[in-house]
Amino acid sequence: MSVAFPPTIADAAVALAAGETTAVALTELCLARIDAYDGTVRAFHRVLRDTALAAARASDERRKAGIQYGRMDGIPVAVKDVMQVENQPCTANSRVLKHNIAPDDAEVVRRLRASGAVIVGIVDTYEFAFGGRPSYDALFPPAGNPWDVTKSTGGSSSGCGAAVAAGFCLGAVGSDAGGSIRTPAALCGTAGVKPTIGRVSTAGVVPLTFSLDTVGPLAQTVEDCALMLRAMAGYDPADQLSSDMDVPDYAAALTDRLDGLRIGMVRRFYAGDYDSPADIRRAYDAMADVLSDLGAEIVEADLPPLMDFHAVGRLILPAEAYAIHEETLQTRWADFGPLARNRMMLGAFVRSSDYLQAQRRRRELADAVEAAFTECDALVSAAMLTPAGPMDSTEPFPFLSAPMINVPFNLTDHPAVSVRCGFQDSGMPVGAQIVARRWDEAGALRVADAYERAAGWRTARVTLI
Amino acid sequence: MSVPENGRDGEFDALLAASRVPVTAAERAELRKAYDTLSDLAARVRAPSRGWTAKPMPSFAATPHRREGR
Repeated sequence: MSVAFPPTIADAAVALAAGETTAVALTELCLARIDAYDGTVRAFHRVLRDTALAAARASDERRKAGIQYGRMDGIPVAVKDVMQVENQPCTANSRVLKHNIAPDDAEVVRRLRASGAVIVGIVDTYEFAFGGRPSYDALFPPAGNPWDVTKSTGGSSSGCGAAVAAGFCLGAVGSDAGGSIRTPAALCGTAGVKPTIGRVSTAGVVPLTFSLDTVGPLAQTVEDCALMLRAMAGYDPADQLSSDMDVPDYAAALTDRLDGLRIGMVRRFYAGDYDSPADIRRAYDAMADVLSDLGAEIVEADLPPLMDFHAVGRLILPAEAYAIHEETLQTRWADFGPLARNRMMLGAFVRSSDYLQAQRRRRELADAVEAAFTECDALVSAAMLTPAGPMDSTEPFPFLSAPMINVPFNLTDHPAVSVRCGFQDSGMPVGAQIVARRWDEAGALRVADAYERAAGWRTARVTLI
Repeated sequence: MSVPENGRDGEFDALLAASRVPVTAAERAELRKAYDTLSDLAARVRAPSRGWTAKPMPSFAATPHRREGR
Protein backbone atom coordinates (compact mmCIF):
# COMPACT_ATOMS: atom_id res chain seq x y z
CA MET A 1 0.00 0.00 0.00
CA SER A 2 1.45 3.38 -0.97
CA VAL A 3 1.62 6.24 1.53
CA ALA A 4 0.81 9.74 0.25
CA PHE A 5 3.60 12.28 -0.29
CA PRO A 6 3.43 15.06 2.31
CA PRO A 7 2.65 18.65 1.31
CA THR A 8 5.17 21.47 1.14
CA ILE A 9 5.78 23.46 4.31
CA ALA A 10 3.94 26.45 2.82
CA ASP A 11 0.88 24.35 1.91
CA ALA A 12 0.93 22.54 5.24
CA ALA A 13 1.02 25.88 7.10
CA VAL A 14 -2.08 27.01 5.18
CA ALA A 15 -3.86 23.72 5.89
CA LEU A 16 -2.94 23.87 9.58
CA ALA A 17 -4.20 27.45 9.86
CA ALA A 18 -7.45 26.48 8.13
CA GLY A 19 -7.97 23.51 10.42
CA GLU A 20 -7.79 21.11 7.47
CA THR A 21 -4.96 19.08 9.02
CA THR A 22 -3.10 18.77 12.30
CA ALA A 23 0.54 18.59 13.30
CA VAL A 24 -0.12 15.07 14.56
CA ALA A 25 -1.55 14.04 11.18
CA LEU A 26 1.47 15.51 9.34
CA THR A 27 3.89 13.79 11.72
CA GLU A 28 2.07 10.46 11.46
CA LEU A 29 2.19 10.76 7.66
CA CYS A 30 5.96 11.26 7.75
CA LEU A 31 6.39 8.37 10.21
CA ALA A 32 4.24 6.13 7.98
CA ARG A 33 6.43 6.93 4.98
CA ILE A 34 9.57 6.26 7.01
CA ASP A 35 8.11 2.91 8.12
CA ALA A 36 7.15 2.03 4.56
CA TYR A 37 10.23 3.15 2.63
CA ASP A 38 13.25 3.93 4.79
CA GLY A 39 14.31 0.31 4.84
CA THR A 40 15.31 0.92 1.23
CA VAL A 41 16.42 4.55 1.39
CA ARG A 42 18.25 4.41 4.79
CA ALA A 43 17.99 8.15 5.39
CA PHE A 44 17.49 7.91 9.16
CA HIS A 45 20.01 7.05 11.85
CA ARG A 46 17.32 7.49 14.49
CA VAL A 47 13.58 8.15 14.30
CA LEU A 48 12.32 10.20 17.27
CA ARG A 49 8.78 8.83 17.09
CA ASP A 50 7.59 9.48 20.65
CA THR A 51 9.08 12.93 21.13
CA ALA A 52 7.96 13.97 17.63
CA LEU A 53 4.37 12.97 18.32
CA ALA A 54 4.50 14.71 21.70
CA ALA A 55 5.76 17.91 20.06
CA ALA A 56 3.08 17.63 17.39
CA ARG A 57 0.36 17.22 20.02
CA ALA A 58 1.69 20.29 21.85
CA SER A 59 1.55 22.26 18.59
CA ASP A 60 -2.05 21.21 18.00
CA GLU A 61 -2.99 22.16 21.56
CA ARG A 62 -1.41 25.59 21.09
CA ARG A 63 -3.36 26.11 17.92
CA LYS A 64 -6.61 25.12 19.61
CA ALA A 65 -5.82 27.67 22.32
CA GLY A 66 -5.35 30.37 19.69
CA ILE A 67 -1.55 30.46 20.03
CA GLN A 68 0.66 29.95 16.98
CA TYR A 69 4.41 30.46 16.87
CA GLY A 70 4.56 30.95 13.09
CA ARG A 71 4.38 29.02 9.83
CA MET A 72 6.90 26.41 11.05
CA ASP A 73 4.66 25.50 13.99
CA GLY A 74 3.77 21.81 13.70
CA ILE A 75 6.05 21.14 10.68
CA PRO A 76 8.03 17.84 10.84
CA VAL A 77 11.73 18.31 10.07
CA ALA A 78 14.84 16.11 10.30
CA VAL A 79 18.36 17.07 11.33
CA LYS A 80 21.71 15.86 10.04
CA ASP A 81 23.65 13.67 12.45
CA VAL A 82 26.20 16.36 13.17
CA MET A 83 23.71 18.60 15.01
CA GLN A 84 23.19 18.02 18.70
CA VAL A 85 19.70 16.93 19.69
CA GLU A 86 19.33 16.88 23.47
CA ASN A 87 19.81 13.44 25.07
CA GLN A 88 20.23 11.78 21.66
CA PRO A 89 23.35 10.24 20.10
CA CYS A 90 25.29 12.69 17.93
CA THR A 91 27.64 10.42 16.00
CA ALA A 92 28.63 12.27 12.81
CA ASN A 93 28.29 8.72 11.41
CA SER A 94 31.61 7.78 13.00
CA ARG A 95 32.59 5.04 15.42
CA VAL A 96 34.73 7.75 17.03
CA LEU A 97 31.51 9.35 18.35
CA LYS A 98 29.44 6.18 18.62
CA HIS A 99 28.74 6.75 22.32
CA ASN A 100 28.47 10.55 22.21
CA ILE A 101 25.18 11.70 23.75
CA ALA A 102 24.31 15.36 23.20
CA PRO A 103 23.88 17.22 26.49
CA ASP A 104 21.68 19.85 24.86
CA ASP A 105 20.31 21.04 21.53
CA ALA A 106 22.43 22.75 18.89
CA GLU A 107 21.34 26.37 18.64
CA VAL A 108 19.71 25.76 15.26
CA VAL A 109 17.71 22.87 16.70
CA ARG A 110 16.72 25.01 19.68
CA ARG A 111 15.51 27.75 17.34
CA LEU A 112 13.50 25.30 15.25
CA ARG A 113 11.87 23.87 18.35
CA ALA A 114 11.11 27.42 19.51
CA SER A 115 9.38 28.03 16.16
CA GLY A 116 7.17 25.00 16.87
CA ALA A 117 8.87 22.66 14.39
CA VAL A 118 8.66 18.94 15.15
CA ILE A 119 12.03 17.12 15.14
CA VAL A 120 11.08 13.81 13.54
CA GLY A 121 14.54 12.25 13.52
CA ILE A 122 18.29 12.32 12.92
CA VAL A 123 19.46 11.60 9.38
CA ASP A 124 22.53 10.32 7.60
CA THR A 125 25.77 12.19 6.96
CA TYR A 126 29.01 11.19 5.34
CA GLU A 127 31.45 10.48 8.19
CA PHE A 128 32.31 13.75 9.95
CA ALA A 129 30.54 15.64 7.14
CA PHE A 130 33.41 15.13 4.71
CA GLY A 131 31.98 14.98 1.18
CA GLY A 132 33.16 12.89 -1.73
CA ARG A 133 31.26 9.65 -2.17
CA PRO A 134 29.14 7.21 -0.16
CA SER A 135 30.93 4.58 1.87
CA TYR A 136 29.89 1.45 3.74
CA ASP A 137 32.87 1.69 6.10
CA ALA A 138 31.35 4.22 8.52
CA LEU A 139 29.07 3.68 11.54
CA PHE A 140 25.85 3.62 9.48
CA PRO A 141 25.38 2.54 5.84
CA PRO A 142 24.93 5.42 3.39
CA ALA A 143 21.52 6.76 2.37
CA GLY A 144 20.47 5.97 -1.19
CA ASN A 145 19.08 8.47 -3.67
CA PRO A 146 15.26 8.10 -3.66
CA TRP A 147 15.16 8.66 -7.43
CA ASP A 148 17.37 5.57 -7.84
CA VAL A 149 18.64 3.92 -4.67
CA THR A 150 21.60 2.42 -6.51
CA LYS A 151 22.89 5.97 -6.98
CA SER A 152 24.56 8.37 -4.57
CA THR A 153 22.71 11.20 -2.88
CA GLY A 154 25.87 13.27 -2.88
CA GLY A 155 27.10 14.54 0.41
CA SER A 156 27.76 15.18 3.02
CA SER A 157 24.13 16.00 4.00
CA SER A 158 23.11 12.73 2.37
CA GLY A 159 20.26 11.91 4.74
CA CYS A 160 18.79 15.41 4.42
CA GLY A 161 18.60 15.18 0.63
CA ALA A 162 17.27 11.63 0.77
CA ALA A 163 14.69 12.28 3.52
CA VAL A 164 13.25 15.41 1.89
CA ALA A 165 13.18 13.86 -1.60
CA ALA A 166 11.53 10.72 -0.20
CA GLY A 167 8.87 12.70 1.70
CA PHE A 168 10.00 11.47 5.14
CA CYS A 169 9.88 15.02 6.47
CA LEU A 170 8.92 18.42 5.11
CA GLY A 171 12.36 19.94 5.61
CA ALA A 172 15.81 19.09 6.93
CA VAL A 173 18.77 20.87 8.46
CA GLY A 174 22.14 20.28 6.79
CA SER A 175 25.63 21.72 6.90
CA ASP A 176 27.83 22.92 4.04
CA ALA A 177 31.57 23.67 4.00
CA GLY A 178 32.26 22.70 0.38
CA GLY A 179 28.87 21.89 -1.12
CA SER A 180 27.42 19.52 1.46
CA ILE A 181 23.92 21.02 1.29
CA ARG A 182 23.85 21.96 -2.40
CA THR A 183 25.24 18.69 -3.75
CA PRO A 184 22.61 16.40 -2.17
CA ALA A 185 19.93 18.99 -2.93
CA ALA A 186 20.94 18.95 -6.61
CA LEU A 187 21.34 15.18 -6.91
CA CYS A 188 18.12 14.44 -4.98
CA GLY A 189 16.07 17.16 -6.69
CA THR A 190 15.32 19.30 -3.64
CA ALA A 191 16.00 22.94 -2.80
CA GLY A 192 18.71 23.92 -0.33
CA VAL A 193 20.44 27.01 1.05
CA LYS A 194 24.06 27.61 1.98
CA PRO A 195 23.86 30.92 3.83
CA THR A 196 26.55 33.52 4.47
CA ILE A 197 28.89 32.46 7.31
CA GLY A 198 27.42 33.82 10.54
CA ARG A 199 23.81 33.85 9.39
CA VAL A 200 22.91 30.57 11.12
CA SER A 201 24.69 29.54 14.30
CA THR A 202 27.03 26.54 14.13
CA ALA A 203 27.09 26.14 17.93
CA GLY A 204 26.41 22.54 18.86
CA VAL A 205 27.32 21.27 15.38
CA VAL A 206 30.24 18.85 14.88
CA PRO A 207 32.68 20.89 12.78
CA LEU A 208 34.34 19.93 9.51
CA THR A 209 36.37 23.14 9.19
CA PHE A 210 36.99 26.39 11.06
CA SER A 211 36.61 28.85 8.20
CA LEU A 212 34.01 27.35 5.86
CA ASP A 213 31.25 25.69 7.91
CA THR A 214 27.66 26.86 7.46
CA VAL A 215 24.28 25.44 8.49
CA GLY A 216 21.21 25.70 6.25
CA PRO A 217 17.89 24.15 5.22
CA LEU A 218 16.85 21.63 2.56
CA ALA A 219 13.19 21.34 1.55
CA GLN A 220 10.94 20.46 -1.36
CA THR A 221 10.77 24.04 -2.63
CA VAL A 222 12.70 27.29 -2.40
CA GLU A 223 9.76 28.92 -0.60
CA ASP A 224 9.96 26.21 2.07
CA CYS A 225 13.68 26.90 2.49
CA ALA A 226 12.83 30.59 2.95
CA LEU A 227 10.42 29.69 5.74
CA MET A 228 12.93 27.41 7.43
CA LEU A 229 15.85 29.81 7.12
CA ARG A 230 13.97 32.57 8.92
CA ALA A 231 13.34 30.23 11.85
CA MET A 232 16.97 29.03 11.89
CA ALA A 233 18.86 32.32 11.47
CA GLY A 234 19.91 34.93 14.01
CA TYR A 235 22.67 36.06 16.32
CA ASP A 236 24.11 33.56 18.79
CA PRO A 237 26.86 34.65 21.18
CA ALA A 238 27.97 31.01 21.47
CA ASP A 239 29.16 31.09 17.83
CA GLN A 240 32.23 33.33 17.45
CA LEU A 241 31.41 34.01 13.80
CA SER A 242 27.70 34.71 14.38
CA SER A 243 26.31 37.97 13.06
CA ASP A 244 23.71 40.30 14.48
CA MET A 245 22.50 41.30 11.02
CA ASP A 246 18.71 41.59 10.83
CA VAL A 247 16.96 38.41 9.65
CA PRO A 248 14.47 39.37 6.92
CA ASP A 249 11.13 37.71 6.29
CA TYR A 250 12.53 35.74 3.36
CA ALA A 251 9.20 34.32 2.23
CA ALA A 252 7.57 37.76 2.17
CA ALA A 253 10.32 38.99 -0.16
CA LEU A 254 9.55 36.41 -2.87
CA THR A 255 8.11 37.80 -6.12
CA ASP A 256 6.74 36.36 -9.34
CA ARG A 257 8.76 38.66 -11.60
CA LEU A 258 12.46 39.54 -11.84
CA ASP A 259 12.16 42.76 -13.83
CA GLY A 260 15.15 45.05 -13.51
CA LEU A 261 17.56 42.37 -12.30
CA ARG A 262 20.75 41.53 -14.14
CA ILE A 263 21.72 37.87 -13.79
CA GLY A 264 25.13 36.48 -14.73
CA MET A 265 25.42 32.93 -16.08
CA VAL A 266 28.67 31.23 -15.00
CA ARG A 267 28.71 29.01 -18.06
CA ARG A 268 32.44 28.34 -18.10
CA PHE A 269 32.21 26.17 -14.96
CA TYR A 270 30.15 23.45 -16.68
CA ALA A 271 31.05 24.07 -20.35
CA GLY A 272 34.76 24.81 -20.69
CA ASP A 273 36.53 24.50 -17.36
CA TYR A 274 34.75 21.16 -17.03
CA ASP A 275 32.60 19.64 -19.75
CA SER A 276 29.44 18.25 -18.19
CA PRO A 277 27.37 15.68 -20.10
CA ALA A 278 25.12 17.22 -22.74
CA ASP A 279 21.84 16.64 -20.89
CA ILE A 280 23.14 18.44 -17.80
CA ARG A 281 24.56 21.31 -19.88
CA ARG A 282 21.20 21.68 -21.66
CA ALA A 283 19.37 22.02 -18.34
CA TYR A 284 21.67 24.85 -17.24
CA ASP A 285 21.62 26.63 -20.59
CA ALA A 286 17.80 26.51 -20.65
CA MET A 287 17.63 28.47 -17.39
CA ALA A 288 18.59 31.67 -19.19
CA ASP A 289 15.40 31.70 -21.26
CA VAL A 290 13.18 31.16 -18.23
CA LEU A 291 14.91 33.92 -16.28
CA SER A 292 14.74 36.24 -19.29
CA ASP A 293 11.00 35.58 -19.64
CA LEU A 294 10.66 36.63 -15.99
CA GLY A 295 12.08 40.04 -16.90
CA ALA A 296 15.74 39.62 -15.96
CA GLU A 297 18.60 40.73 -18.17
CA ILE A 298 20.94 37.80 -18.77
CA VAL A 299 24.69 38.28 -19.19
CA GLU A 300 27.74 36.00 -19.15
CA ALA A 301 29.59 36.32 -15.84
CA ASP A 302 33.37 36.44 -16.00
CA LEU A 303 34.79 34.53 -13.04
CA PRO A 304 38.25 32.95 -12.58
CA PRO A 305 38.68 29.31 -13.69
CA LEU A 306 36.89 26.68 -11.62
CA MET A 307 40.21 24.89 -11.03
CA ASP A 308 41.53 27.96 -9.19
CA PHE A 309 38.68 27.70 -6.70
CA HIS A 310 39.10 23.93 -6.56
CA ALA A 311 42.82 24.19 -5.75
CA VAL A 312 42.17 26.58 -2.87
CA GLY A 313 39.33 24.48 -1.51
CA ARG A 314 41.27 21.25 -1.74
CA LEU A 315 44.08 22.71 0.36
CA ILE A 316 42.06 24.59 2.98
CA LEU A 317 39.35 22.01 3.62
CA PRO A 318 41.50 18.96 4.51
CA ALA A 319 44.02 21.14 6.34
CA GLU A 320 41.34 22.46 8.69
CA ALA A 321 39.64 19.08 9.04
CA TYR A 322 42.99 17.51 9.92
CA ALA A 323 43.65 20.20 12.51
CA ILE A 324 40.32 19.36 14.13
CA HIS A 325 40.85 15.59 14.13
CA GLU A 326 44.66 15.26 14.35
CA GLU A 327 44.84 13.91 17.89
CA THR A 328 42.02 11.42 17.31
CA LEU A 329 43.61 10.27 14.07
CA GLN A 330 46.82 9.57 15.97
CA THR A 331 45.15 7.66 18.79
CA ARG A 332 41.99 6.13 17.31
CA TRP A 333 42.90 5.57 13.67
CA ALA A 334 41.01 2.29 13.50
CA ASP A 335 37.77 3.89 14.71
CA PHE A 336 37.51 6.03 11.57
CA GLY A 337 36.22 4.59 8.34
CA PRO A 338 39.14 4.26 5.90
CA LEU A 339 37.58 6.70 3.44
CA ALA A 340 37.12 9.49 6.00
CA ARG A 341 40.47 9.06 7.72
CA ASN A 342 42.41 9.15 4.47
CA ARG A 343 40.57 12.24 3.29
CA MET A 344 41.48 13.93 6.56
CA MET A 345 45.06 12.68 6.31
CA LEU A 346 45.55 14.78 3.20
CA GLY A 347 45.60 17.73 5.58
CA ALA A 348 48.83 16.41 7.11
CA PHE A 349 50.51 17.11 3.78
CA VAL A 350 49.41 20.74 3.48
CA ARG A 351 52.26 22.83 4.85
CA SER A 352 51.58 26.10 6.65
CA SER A 353 52.91 28.09 3.70
CA ASP A 354 50.62 26.17 1.31
CA TYR A 355 47.68 26.90 3.59
CA LEU A 356 48.43 30.61 3.82
CA GLN A 357 49.06 30.93 0.09
CA ALA A 358 45.68 29.27 -0.44
CA GLN A 359 44.04 31.77 1.91
CA ARG A 360 45.70 34.64 0.00
CA ARG A 361 44.43 33.23 -3.30
CA ARG A 362 41.05 32.81 -1.62
CA ARG A 363 40.86 36.55 -1.00
CA GLU A 364 41.67 37.26 -4.66
CA LEU A 365 38.92 34.88 -5.76
CA ALA A 366 36.47 36.49 -3.33
CA ASP A 367 37.36 39.90 -4.75
CA ALA A 368 36.73 38.58 -8.28
CA VAL A 369 33.26 37.35 -7.34
CA GLU A 370 32.56 40.63 -5.54
CA ALA A 371 33.52 42.43 -8.76
CA ALA A 372 30.98 40.33 -10.65
CA PHE A 373 28.33 41.57 -8.25
CA THR A 374 29.04 45.16 -9.26
CA GLU A 375 27.64 44.14 -12.65
CA CYS A 376 25.08 41.52 -11.62
CA ASP A 377 22.41 41.09 -8.96
CA ALA A 378 22.73 37.30 -8.96
CA LEU A 379 24.82 34.56 -10.53
CA VAL A 380 23.62 31.22 -11.89
CA SER A 381 26.07 28.34 -11.64
CA ALA A 382 25.95 24.56 -11.88
CA ALA A 383 25.42 22.73 -8.57
CA MET A 384 26.59 19.39 -10.04
CA LEU A 385 28.90 18.58 -12.95
CA THR A 386 28.20 14.88 -13.36
CA PRO A 387 25.36 12.43 -12.71
CA ALA A 388 25.06 10.88 -9.26
CA GLY A 389 27.76 8.24 -8.84
CA PRO A 390 27.18 4.59 -7.94
CA MET A 391 26.76 3.54 -4.30
CA ASP A 392 29.57 0.98 -4.52
CA SER A 393 32.44 3.18 -5.72
CA THR A 394 35.76 2.45 -3.99
CA GLU A 395 37.78 5.36 -5.39
CA PRO A 396 39.89 6.65 -2.45
CA PHE A 397 40.10 10.31 -3.43
CA PRO A 398 37.34 11.08 -5.96
CA PHE A 399 37.45 14.78 -5.19
CA LEU A 400 41.04 15.14 -6.35
CA SER A 401 40.20 14.26 -9.93
CA ALA A 402 37.00 16.27 -10.62
CA PRO A 403 36.72 19.93 -9.62
CA MET A 404 34.46 20.89 -6.74
CA ILE A 405 31.60 22.80 -8.32
CA ASN A 406 30.08 24.12 -5.09
CA VAL A 407 33.20 25.16 -3.17
CA PRO A 408 33.68 28.53 -4.94
CA PHE A 409 30.93 30.23 -2.96
CA ASN A 410 32.03 28.64 0.33
CA LEU A 411 35.44 30.19 -0.24
CA THR A 412 34.04 33.59 -1.19
CA ASP A 413 31.30 33.42 1.49
CA HIS A 414 28.40 34.27 -0.80
CA PRO A 415 24.95 32.80 -0.08
CA ALA A 416 23.80 30.21 -2.60
CA VAL A 417 20.44 28.51 -3.16
CA SER A 418 20.27 25.14 -4.90
CA VAL A 419 17.19 24.74 -7.10
CA ARG A 420 16.04 21.93 -9.37
CA CYS A 421 16.43 22.94 -13.03
CA GLY A 422 15.33 19.83 -14.92
CA PHE A 423 16.05 16.17 -15.38
CA GLN A 424 18.78 14.15 -17.06
CA ASP A 425 17.96 11.72 -19.86
CA SER A 426 18.07 9.01 -17.18
CA GLY A 427 15.22 10.68 -15.25
CA MET A 428 17.52 11.81 -12.41
CA PRO A 429 17.24 15.47 -11.36
CA VAL A 430 19.61 18.32 -12.18
CA GLY A 431 20.25 21.16 -9.73
CA ALA A 432 21.63 24.65 -10.25
CA GLN A 433 22.72 27.25 -7.70
CA ILE A 434 21.66 30.87 -7.53
CA VAL A 435 24.27 33.04 -5.82
CA ALA A 436 23.80 36.55 -4.40
CA ARG A 437 25.80 39.22 -2.60
CA ARG A 438 26.97 38.53 0.97
CA TRP A 439 24.07 38.56 3.41
CA ASP A 440 21.56 38.75 0.56
CA GLU A 441 20.03 35.31 1.04
CA ALA A 442 16.74 37.06 0.29
CA GLY A 443 17.96 38.02 -3.19
CA ALA A 444 19.13 34.49 -4.01
CA LEU A 445 15.87 33.02 -2.70
CA ARG A 446 13.83 35.50 -4.74
CA VAL A 447 15.52 34.58 -8.03
CA ALA A 448 15.46 30.85 -7.27
CA ASP A 449 11.79 30.88 -6.24
CA ALA A 450 10.64 32.84 -9.30
CA TYR A 451 12.64 30.50 -11.53
CA GLU A 452 11.29 27.40 -9.78
CA ARG A 453 7.66 28.52 -10.19
CA ALA A 454 8.14 29.35 -13.87
CA ALA A 455 10.26 26.37 -14.88
CA GLY A 456 7.57 23.73 -14.44
CA TRP A 457 9.21 21.09 -12.23
CA ARG A 458 8.16 22.47 -8.86
CA THR A 459 5.58 19.78 -8.11
CA ALA A 460 7.47 16.77 -9.49
CA ARG A 461 8.04 14.22 -6.72
CA VAL A 462 9.69 10.83 -6.56
CA THR A 463 7.50 7.71 -6.47
CA LEU A 464 8.64 5.07 -4.00
CA ILE A 465 7.43 1.49 -4.09
CA MET B 1 56.08 23.59 -11.34
CA SER B 2 55.86 19.87 -11.87
CA VAL B 3 58.26 17.75 -9.80
CA PRO B 4 59.18 14.15 -10.68
CA GLU B 5 57.21 11.75 -8.48
CA ASN B 6 60.28 10.31 -6.78
CA GLY B 7 61.43 13.87 -6.08
CA ARG B 8 58.64 14.22 -3.56
CA ASP B 9 59.23 10.94 -1.76
CA GLY B 10 61.43 12.49 0.89
CA GLU B 11 59.04 15.30 1.79
CA PHE B 12 56.08 12.92 1.74
CA ASP B 13 57.84 10.51 4.10
CA ALA B 14 58.85 13.35 6.42
CA LEU B 15 55.36 14.84 6.58
CA LEU B 16 53.79 11.44 7.16
CA ALA B 17 56.27 10.67 9.96
CA ALA B 18 55.64 14.08 11.51
CA SER B 19 51.92 13.39 11.60
CA ARG B 20 52.45 10.36 13.89
CA VAL B 21 49.35 8.80 12.34
CA PRO B 22 49.65 5.01 11.92
CA VAL B 23 48.46 4.53 8.32
CA THR B 24 48.52 1.09 6.73
CA ALA B 25 50.88 0.23 3.88
CA ALA B 26 48.02 0.22 1.36
CA GLU B 27 46.77 3.58 2.57
CA ARG B 28 50.28 4.98 2.48
CA ALA B 29 50.52 4.07 -1.21
CA GLU B 30 47.22 5.82 -1.99
CA LEU B 31 48.22 8.87 0.03
CA ARG B 32 51.56 9.02 -1.81
CA LYS B 33 49.69 9.26 -5.13
CA ALA B 34 47.32 11.87 -3.74
CA TYR B 35 50.28 13.88 -2.46
CA ASP B 36 51.41 14.58 -6.01
CA THR B 37 48.00 15.96 -6.92
CA LEU B 38 47.91 18.01 -3.72
CA SER B 39 51.37 19.41 -4.45
CA ASP B 40 50.30 20.46 -7.94
CA LEU B 41 47.27 22.23 -6.44
CA ALA B 42 49.56 23.95 -3.93
CA ALA B 43 51.70 25.21 -6.80
CA ARG B 44 48.57 26.57 -8.51
CA VAL B 45 47.61 28.87 -5.64
CA ARG B 46 51.03 30.54 -5.57
CA ALA B 47 51.73 33.66 -7.64
CA PRO B 48 55.29 35.07 -7.75
CA SER B 49 53.86 38.44 -8.73
CA ARG B 50 51.63 38.64 -5.66
CA GLY B 51 52.80 41.47 -3.45
CA TRP B 52 53.55 41.22 0.25
CA THR B 53 50.53 43.37 0.99
CA ALA B 54 48.17 40.68 -0.34
CA LYS B 55 46.78 39.27 2.89
CA PRO B 56 45.06 35.95 3.57
CA MET B 57 41.30 35.86 3.62
CA PRO B 58 40.17 37.01 7.07
CA SER B 59 38.42 33.78 7.86
CA PHE B 60 38.78 33.94 11.59
CA ALA B 61 37.09 36.68 13.58
CA ALA B 62 38.05 37.37 17.19
CA THR B 63 34.69 39.05 17.67
CA PRO B 64 31.39 38.43 15.90
CA HIS B 65 30.65 40.04 12.56
CA ARG B 66 28.81 43.24 13.25
CA ARG B 67 26.42 45.17 11.13
CA GLU B 68 28.21 47.77 8.99
CA GLY B 69 28.24 51.20 10.58
CA ARG B 70 28.02 50.00 14.15
